[in-house]
This record gives sequence, structure tokens and C-alpha cells, in this order.
Amino acid sequence: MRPELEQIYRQHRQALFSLALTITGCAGLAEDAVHEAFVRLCGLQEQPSGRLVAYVFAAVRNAAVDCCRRIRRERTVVETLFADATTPSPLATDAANGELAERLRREIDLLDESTRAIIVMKIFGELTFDEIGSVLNTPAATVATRYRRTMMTLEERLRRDQ
Amino acid sequence: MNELEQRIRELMLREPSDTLDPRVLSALRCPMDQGSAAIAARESDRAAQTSSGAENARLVNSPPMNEPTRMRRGNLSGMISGLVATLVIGMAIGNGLPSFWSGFGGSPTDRSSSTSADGTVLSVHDADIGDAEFPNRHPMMPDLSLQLRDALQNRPTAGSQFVESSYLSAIAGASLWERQNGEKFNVTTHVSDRRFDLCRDCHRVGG
Repeated sequence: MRPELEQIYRQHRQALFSLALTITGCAGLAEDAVHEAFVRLCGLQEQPSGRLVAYVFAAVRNAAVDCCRRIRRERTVVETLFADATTPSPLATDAANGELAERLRREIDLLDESTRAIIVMKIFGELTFDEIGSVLNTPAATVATRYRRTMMTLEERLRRDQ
Repeated sequence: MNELEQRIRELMLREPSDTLDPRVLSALRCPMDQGSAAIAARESDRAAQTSSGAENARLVNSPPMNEPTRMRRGNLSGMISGLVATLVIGMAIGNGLPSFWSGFGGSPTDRSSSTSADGTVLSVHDADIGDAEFPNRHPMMPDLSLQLRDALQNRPTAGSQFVESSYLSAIAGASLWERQNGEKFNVTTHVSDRRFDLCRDCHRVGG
């Protein structure tokens, strides 16, 4: 199972780190959580049921929650999920696109923790709503509704700002 | 995937630091059985207390973090066991205290009133109260003069209200009963284990 875990890590490392960052609000703690999750996954004797990638996301989320509990962290400051705004996105070719991307970053950073986690897992982790639901212990329909509502809200805000 | 989802996907996620990859990959590549995995998990727990992540969190948050959960649980269980031990010791002292007092002739409360062999109420206050005139009032009505007298004679009043009221009612009720019936009052025929039985008798004879 370790080669599969390594492959998942290499493919989803940013999304896993972002999920942990969403929960902890701190990059250092998020790294600790990802590391701790993989250490625990290495100890698994049996292949978990379902898709392994969803299981890894769930493990990272649980480790992040554990990290926060262990040090009794209050999420007073939340670090951004995205790279520095000065780092040009390869797809943001013109200034207008760059400005829109910056607004989008800000809006996503302002979302609450669970909504950001849903976005990270759906868009960057490419998990299904069922898998996200199992990670968050939430019905898939609820996850889908929250995701679509968030997308509509974001679209509306971006349109209003234009 | 709609346009907005595509735009979000194009945003660059933040990169973890360079130290994460070696940590995770070394954990994935090192051979270990389940026991060593558990040890590694515990080490990871410990590392989380002192790692850069915890340090960052300390810098980010205020007030700073306190001790880990395990220590808090230890403190809590110690506190609970301490409370239980205190309760047990308190109960033991409470149970042994009456016998301790009886070794010194009884507690002040025990000595304040007792019943003699012939059933007459005996009291350390008998000499003071025995000849006292029965107040012309209902025994349960508070009387300022009685309270004032008790205060002047330094008798317990409010602090031992139950004992004092039953004691006064017993003595006063007995003398009234003797005057009305012309007999010697025998407490054993009037007072059962409950002191207020005497009050009921007095009430019945119009006290």
C-alpha cells in the first residue's frame, strides 16, 4: 500500500496540505498534520475500503483536527490557502485575469472552514461528493448543496465587484 | 466544470515548505511494523509540540498554548481522586467524631439535655428554665423576650434553632401539663424518638 500512498502524496500534496491548512489555519501545523497522517497510514495493515485517496484526505483532516485539539489552538488568524499574489499564475495572462484571480483568492479565504475544505477536496482533490461526505461525516447531498450554493455566492460577489 | 470552477482550479495553491516532502517520504519508505508505526505516531505527537508548526502557532496565537491534552487529563484525574480521598477522610472523621466526644463526656449538644432513669427530662438548663413562667403565646410563635433572654444568658438561639426550640417547648410544655393534670410529667409516655411529639401533646392540652 505504501507505493500507492506515495503516489497519492505526490499527486495531491498541495491539496492535502491545503485541507490541513484550512483546519489548522497555520502552515506549520498543517505540515505536522500531513506528516502525522502519513505516519499513521503507514501503520495500516489492511487496505481501507473505498477509494484510498478519499481515505488519505480523511486521515489528513483527522490529524489536523487532532493537532488543533492537542495544542488547544484558537483559530484567531487564518493563513491563505493560495500562493503569494505576486506569484503569477501561468494561466492568468492579462491584468484583468490577474485582478479577478486575486479577488477570487480573497473571497475563498473569507469562507468558513468547512466550505473551504469542500472546495479544496472537490476542485483540487477531485473527490466526489460522496467521498467528501464520508471525509466530513456529512451527507453527500448536504455537501453538494453547500458546494453549489458557495459557487453561486462566489459568482454573485465577483459579478457585483466588476 | 463551469467557468468559476475552472478559474478556481487555475489559482495556485500554496506550497508546503521543503521539509514536508522528506518527512513524509521518509515515513513512507522506512520499513516498520505496526508497533514501530505506533511509536512513530507517538514521536510525531511529541514532535508536534516542539515542531515549527507548534512554534508558528505559538507566534500566531495569543495567549500561548498550554500543556498537552494528556497532561490536562492527568491533572483532572488527580484532582478527582484527591476530592474522593478528601470525601472519604471527611466521612471517616465525621463517623468517628461522636465516639471521640463521648470519650470526653459527650459533646456540648449531648450534654444539654438527656433523659434520666425515671424518664424525667434532665438538662443543664433545668435550674434556669424549670421555674420559668410559661409564656402566654403559641409555642411556635417567635418571642422577642425569649430571644433577648437567650442572648443575654449566652444560650444558643439561631445557630441551633431546632434543638433550642424543642428544648424550650419540652420544659415549658411539661410544667403546663403538670399544672393542668396534677401529675408528674413523665417524658417517656409523651416523647417518642421524635422530639416534636411533645409539641403535639402540648398542643392537644392547649399549650
